[in-house]
Amino acid sequence: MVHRKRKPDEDAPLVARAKEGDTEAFDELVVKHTSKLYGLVYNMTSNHEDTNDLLQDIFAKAYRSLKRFRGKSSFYTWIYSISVNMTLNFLKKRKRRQAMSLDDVDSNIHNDKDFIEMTSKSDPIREVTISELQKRLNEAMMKLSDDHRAVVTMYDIQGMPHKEISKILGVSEGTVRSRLFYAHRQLQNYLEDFRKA
Amino acid sequence: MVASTPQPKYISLLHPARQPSIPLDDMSNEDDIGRIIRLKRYEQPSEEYLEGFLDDFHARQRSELLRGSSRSILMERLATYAQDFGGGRMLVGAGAACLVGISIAAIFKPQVNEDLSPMAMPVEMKLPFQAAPERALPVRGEELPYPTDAYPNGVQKVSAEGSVMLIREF
Repeated sequence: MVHRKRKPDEDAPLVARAKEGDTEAFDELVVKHTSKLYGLVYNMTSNHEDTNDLLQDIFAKAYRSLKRFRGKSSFYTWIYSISVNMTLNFLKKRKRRQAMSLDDVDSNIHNDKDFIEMTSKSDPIREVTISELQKRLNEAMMKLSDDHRAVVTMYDIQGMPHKEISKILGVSEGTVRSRLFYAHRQLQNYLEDFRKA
Repeated sequence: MVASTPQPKYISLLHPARQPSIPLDDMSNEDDIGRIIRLKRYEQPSEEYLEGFLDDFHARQRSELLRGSSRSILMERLATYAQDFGGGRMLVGAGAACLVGISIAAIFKPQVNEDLSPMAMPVEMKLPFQAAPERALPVRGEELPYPTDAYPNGVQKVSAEGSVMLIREF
């Protein structure tokens, strides 16, 4: 049987220092991963204030639990799992409250191939403004179930492979693919007019 | 020779016996959806937010420490430990129930007088006339002992250690 060697965790030295009580090392980890984790939580909640509060909770929990982190996975996978679980728990509690507050859109979107194609003047149906697109995308995402939204966020938006998602969610790769398929099918209905002809 | 029947354009995502199949046509549509959804990557917080996040985190850590919610932290640690230990939800639930029971018992434990310090013990006060009303006041005509009879060698003084020390008069 062939055992694949796992890539060494680049955060390992910082984690080791943080475990010994070096708070600056933990700060470095916070700075390094805030942006990516923000994307995950924001795309699952569609609310900036909730994202901010949750992110604070996530890092506080990670700090308290750091001593028990054994390094079986990378630090990023570990804290990402904490984030997904905490966000899903939060969404279960929030359930009835539809609270959307949209973040600014990075101006780089204007250079994106897909965005240019979509907003092409040649097709008046697909002529959209960024704010309209943003609103529609968020509305469409909020129509998905929490589990489906989590998979779409991790796979489509954050570009995480199926295998990694299955590890984080504790489900099989097949379940991840299946959720992704049904989520996409649902999204098709909401975003029909944005799709390519 | 058996004529081969055209195979439907399906791909199976999971085990074919258990999973619905997905038509290839739908997959191309899915790619469109994936591309549109991927545009959400551009939705990001401002630079100022990311810069201020660490300061907010520090402030929050400090306030949590000051609030001293040690019980909630302990409970959270125990719950996380139980999860890490590999126990199922039942185990976690049972453990949490035990902890709650113990906590309630500790909080509402009835206080027993024996635990009180001697200083806090209720003292039964008895006035002389209550203890022996007939001896409270001298009886008319009764001869009282002269103090020097009681203390023939002088005044008695009790030291801090409780021993009796005599001070002689010269």
